[in-house]
Amino acid sequence: MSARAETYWNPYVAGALLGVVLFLSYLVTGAGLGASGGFARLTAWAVGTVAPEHAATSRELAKMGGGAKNPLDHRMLWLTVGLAVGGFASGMLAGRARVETRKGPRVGSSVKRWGFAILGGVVAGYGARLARGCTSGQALSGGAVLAVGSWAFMFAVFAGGYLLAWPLRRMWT
Amino acid sequence: MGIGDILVNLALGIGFGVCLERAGFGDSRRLAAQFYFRDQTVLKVMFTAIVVAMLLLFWSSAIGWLDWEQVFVNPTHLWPAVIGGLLVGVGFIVGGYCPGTSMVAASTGKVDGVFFLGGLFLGIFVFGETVAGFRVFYDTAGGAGAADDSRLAGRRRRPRGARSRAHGARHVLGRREARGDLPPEGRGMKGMKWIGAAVLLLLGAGLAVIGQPTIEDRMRRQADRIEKALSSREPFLDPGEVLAVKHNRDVRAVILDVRSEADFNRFHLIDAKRVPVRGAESRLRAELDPKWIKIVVGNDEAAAVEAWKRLTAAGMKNVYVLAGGVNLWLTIFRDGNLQASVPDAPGDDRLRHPFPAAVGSRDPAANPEPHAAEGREYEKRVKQVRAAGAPAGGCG
Repeated sequence: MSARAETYWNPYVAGALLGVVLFLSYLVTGAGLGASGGFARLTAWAVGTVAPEHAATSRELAKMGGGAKNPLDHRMLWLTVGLAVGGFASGMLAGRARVETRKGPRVGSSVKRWGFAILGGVVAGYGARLARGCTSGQALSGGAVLAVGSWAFMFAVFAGGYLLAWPLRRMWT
Repeated sequence: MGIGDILVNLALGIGFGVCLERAGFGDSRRLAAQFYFRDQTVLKVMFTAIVVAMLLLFWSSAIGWLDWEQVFVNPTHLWPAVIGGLLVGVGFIVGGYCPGTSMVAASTGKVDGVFFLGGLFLGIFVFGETVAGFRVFYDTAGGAGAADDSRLAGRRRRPRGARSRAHGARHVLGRREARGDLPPEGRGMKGMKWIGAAVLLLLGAGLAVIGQPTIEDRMRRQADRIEKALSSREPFLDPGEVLAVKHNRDVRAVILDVRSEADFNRFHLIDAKRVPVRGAESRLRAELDPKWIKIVVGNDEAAAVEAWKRLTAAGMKNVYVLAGGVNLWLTIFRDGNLQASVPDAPGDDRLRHPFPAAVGSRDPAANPEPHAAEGREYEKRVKQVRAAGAPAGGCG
């Protein structure tokens, strides 16, 4: 791996290409991009494997899996796999794929950063299911087709982030 | 899923992942910097992507590449979306990622991304276990169905508002931000930004001029399919079948009466709704569940067929026409002529059965017994068609 990573793309270029990918998704599949849906399906699959009875009776899980339905038999899973493959390939080629912990300059211990990452993940995962989508499936995809709820979601995400930015400034700056 | 679908989605996912990674979204510090006014990459990338995708989508729809009615538009559940959004935002600043970006981070070896991803699964699991406690809120709060801005704005959709909104954001954020020790974002050629913005602006203005296809445009584009269906008599339901469907508890049937108010008052089938279809196609499509059986009813067939064409062109599924219209219905169920056949000619759409007064649905023929058509022979044609377009969006 090279010591010096390549620079990122110009944000407008990256955004325009992302827009083209999003458009192709709508054109070919009739729906946009997403991420949290794939994770939800993996969760449903995991619960179904460990406790099939529970997976079949919980409505949230049963609508994806349960009974003869396989929660992984869905386009979201392959989108998520592709997301990982694409991210890895791109990071690898740019010399950015290496094991490290990214944290603010004032965060001494990686363990503390990991703890906050888990906490943030739990809150974001809960919120994404409540909102029926995350930054990808709601804000980005729904935003492009002018869905009212998606625009409300997008502003709420930024509001939530800016709301806690000041109290958490030692984490990132 | 077939192998083709798998490969398509895999390819889309890879494209998605590459864009996010190259934009710098695999790095929690860059993402978080958005919230400290140090780096506007997140905003620039997101809004550029939304604007570009939006313009491509509406242009494709305008020139007939893409059928807008087949596109999944995230249904509106306003309050769950707002509260969920706040939580995602809080999770973002606490954990440094959102779901998609944490996947990119984890796949490039970022340990914090791996932990965030682990937390995500936990949060998703906890949601599934707790949502039963606020089911009503989750299902119904602020729910307006699949409303999108454009639909609220009327038939000729113009995504102009959103475009200029995003465009404004780009003007404000065009300055170079102080970025501490973050690696620099990629730089473009000077001036390219303005050329790009001008192109998007022109595309938006062009859309505003040509507008989106009307129902008439859609009918023209689908003319072959529509004529083929009509000449096969596929969408025509015999009165006997309509009666059977109305009494079948496993399906929900809606009678859409397209006759004049006077005829409707004189006589109509029980539970029929009088709807002037012209101009209301999209609204009706949004209001009536795709799974319901919609039966268009006229005095004869001509007006009902016209309404059927419009509703079908608007993307409505499971729409049928009452064969022979109200006139044949009355011949069978009022005059007792059980074997009366469907007339070959479309008829003049006049109500030919006399009524002493406007009885509405009080005439016994408005609500015949389930067995009233016993002995009548007809071909069964109802088959439930799957809902239009993608059943769920990116988050399904």
